[in-house]
Amino acid sequence: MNDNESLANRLSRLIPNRGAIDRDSLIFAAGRASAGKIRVWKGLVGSLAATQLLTLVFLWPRPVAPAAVGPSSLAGDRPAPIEWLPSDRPAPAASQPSEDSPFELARMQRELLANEKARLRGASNKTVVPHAMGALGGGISQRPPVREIFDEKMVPDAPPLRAFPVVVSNLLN
Amino acid sequence: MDSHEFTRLLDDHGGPLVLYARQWCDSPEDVVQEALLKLVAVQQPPRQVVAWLYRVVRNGAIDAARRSRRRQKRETVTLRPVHWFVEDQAEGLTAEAATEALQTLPVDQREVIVARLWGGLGFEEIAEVAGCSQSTAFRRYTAGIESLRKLL
Repeated sequence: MNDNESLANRLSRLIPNRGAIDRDSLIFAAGRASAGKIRVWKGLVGSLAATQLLTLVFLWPRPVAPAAVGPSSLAGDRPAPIEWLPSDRPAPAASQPSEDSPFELARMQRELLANEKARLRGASNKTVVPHAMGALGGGISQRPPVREIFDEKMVPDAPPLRAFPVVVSNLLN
Repeated sequence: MDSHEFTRLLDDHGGPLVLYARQWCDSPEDVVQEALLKLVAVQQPPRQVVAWLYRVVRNGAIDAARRSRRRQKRETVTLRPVHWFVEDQAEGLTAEAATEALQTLPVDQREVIVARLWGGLGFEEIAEVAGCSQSTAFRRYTAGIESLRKLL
């Protein structure tokens, strides 16, 4: 038994040859194997690349169709004259803004003001005939026209130069 | 398993594992390397890492031996001198004589002797790895050592 144990001890002194195992390459391969097989990042990268590609496709500048070259285009070096539309004429349907737009509201307001002004001017050209004068009849058609409302002065030119009340000023006069 | 533990495992058990796999196949390095990479890749590390490695190496070596036998039927094998041990001799025992003596043993006895002497496994672990009872492993070991003593 002792001989067997001594032989076992002598045999165990021999160091087994590791052979052709490359220690460094094996440790490197083990590091790669320990990283696991998580493929989430691959899917994430793929989806990001796909969205980038779609964005590139949608934002790629499309070629503009070349304009027809002709006499009209040659003469079109000068800027086209601007045609001002009258306010009472409706604008073209394509460029007509909606009624809610501030431009349309301003235009309607201008039209209302113009109509009101025209109505007032028409009324000022007429003669005002009071009822009493009308009852007398005759000769009242020559009365001066009513002043236009825009020419009427609501405030006198100069304030009265009186330092006293009306009663006192009458006594003084 | 961290890198230091893996490196220590490779340094301590790389050679014995290669010697253990050499009992069955001609390419023990590949088998050991695959076993070590399997160990790193497993989610839950085994409780007894060394015994687990010996079991994986054993299965891989047996599979490699089967493949090698099929291949040898088709190809001409060029035999290279393979050194099982690093030193030429230790304590009056030459490596060449030890190798020749070990090669004469049956593979089940060699397996137990290599796992016991160079792998440092207990008979319980050897029995688990070899798929036999503990007493059978001990009996194989004793018979193998007795045969080696007669040869050496």
